[in-house]
Amino acid sequence: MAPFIVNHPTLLNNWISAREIALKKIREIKKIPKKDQNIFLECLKKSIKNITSWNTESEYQINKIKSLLKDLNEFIIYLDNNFNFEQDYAFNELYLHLEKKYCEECIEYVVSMMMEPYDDIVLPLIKEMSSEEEKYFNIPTERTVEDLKLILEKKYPDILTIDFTKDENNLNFWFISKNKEEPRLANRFDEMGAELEQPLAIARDIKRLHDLLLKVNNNWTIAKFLSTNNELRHIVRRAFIVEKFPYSEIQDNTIGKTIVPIDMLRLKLSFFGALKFDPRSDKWLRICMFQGAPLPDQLKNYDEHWVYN
Amino acid sequence: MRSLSEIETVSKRSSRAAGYSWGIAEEVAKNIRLLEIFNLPGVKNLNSFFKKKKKLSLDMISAVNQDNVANRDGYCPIIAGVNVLDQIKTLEKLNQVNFKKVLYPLLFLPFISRATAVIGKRIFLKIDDKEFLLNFNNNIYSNYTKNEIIESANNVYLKVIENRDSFNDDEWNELYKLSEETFVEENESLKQGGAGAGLTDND
Repeated sequence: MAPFIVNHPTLLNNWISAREIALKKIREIKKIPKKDQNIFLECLKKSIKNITSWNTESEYQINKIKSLLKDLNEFIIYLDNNFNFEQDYAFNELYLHLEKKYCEECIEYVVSMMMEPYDDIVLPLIKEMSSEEEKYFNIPTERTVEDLKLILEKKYPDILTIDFTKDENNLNFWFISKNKEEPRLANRFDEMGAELEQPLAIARDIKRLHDLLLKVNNNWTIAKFLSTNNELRHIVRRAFIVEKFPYSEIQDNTIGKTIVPIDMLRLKLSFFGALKFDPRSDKWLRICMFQGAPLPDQLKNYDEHWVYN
Repeated sequence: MRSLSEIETVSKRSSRAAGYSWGIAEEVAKNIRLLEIFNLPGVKNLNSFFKKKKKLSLDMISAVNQDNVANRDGYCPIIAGVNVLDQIKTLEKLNQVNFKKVLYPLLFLPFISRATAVIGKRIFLKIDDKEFLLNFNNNIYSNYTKNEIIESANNVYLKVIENRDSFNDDEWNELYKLSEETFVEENESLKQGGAGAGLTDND
């Protein structure tokens, strides 16, 4: 499931873009009404018990959960004792404080709580979150090699510095399991099947493409380049998509030693509407979508924030 | 019935398994989806091509010219199609492009259909005696509706059709005159008090 967000770059862009727009609008609110303060604080405090129910044998995840809990508890103490919600742009101040003091998991957690009082900001964004992927499928072959090179250098500056001759940067490969027909990750040096690798090693292929482009004439059209270099066609297509969509790419090495597939999975599932995440290891997790949701006979009168009950 | 997503996914994977790069496999997947949407036998022809591919001596074109003649069993429809699609803005200037012997030409067709959307012009495609008018990748008019495998075509040509009105000025003027009967003659009062102004309803 994790490669879904690699395979749907424009969709990923639209999801993240919606999150960024919502956060921006919330940070721009000058005076936070008492009612909104209370919804935020209540949801945040009530949600903590969800985290304490996550059980995992993975040391990596245990540490992440501990760190998240510690940060959130400290953050709540800070909110109760030191933070003035009556100041102008209080959510912006809060966000700046989060960025300074807490781990990324905590920042993301609190941002999602900030959205709770603001259906009027969040709901209109839903219709922007799908994508007409077909529109961006054709490669603009009239563009030049120079254009493409500049896109790679602008959009992938960190990726281009990775040395893929080192085993640690080229350690894993993605494949489709014959048993489950699902994507899986394996060590290419220990396991068989790397010759059937899926096209999900974006960083490595970007680097390969860039190396190749350095050897050909800048004025060539992409059509001319592709006529003899179709091996990297998938990545050429991708680069031209990424040029248009700022949040469409995972800026990481998806085959490196330190890749944590569960992070991609959680990101995807959160946008699919998963509400509770129970990480089982660094590779998979259990989720819950409707636990505690109102039943049909309760729909006339229910707590909108039932998920935190 | 198989969904279009299933058709696309299986076409992509099988194209890769048949030896094409992932990028080309993506193109084939989109094309087979397109053929099936247009009610042309995409899956059937792709399957047949891949079953026979190893025994065929395929001509792999890279730079497409006005006249292209295969030297072996025939042009690979996928490689020829990819290159026509990629080079369509140059080929458009040639007006007509000919291929002598294309294998499994129905697999070549969707590349040309997609090319019409790239250049914003219709293309007339002839595969031996089968004629196809490809309309901006939205639909296809054809004298061919069979659900069969076409293993090869000796003569394939495509001709770019310049955009022009399908009616003459008289016909247009007559119709325009009739459309004027929806207009209201403005008197002085309306000229002064009416909000907005423009030549068409779209302003």
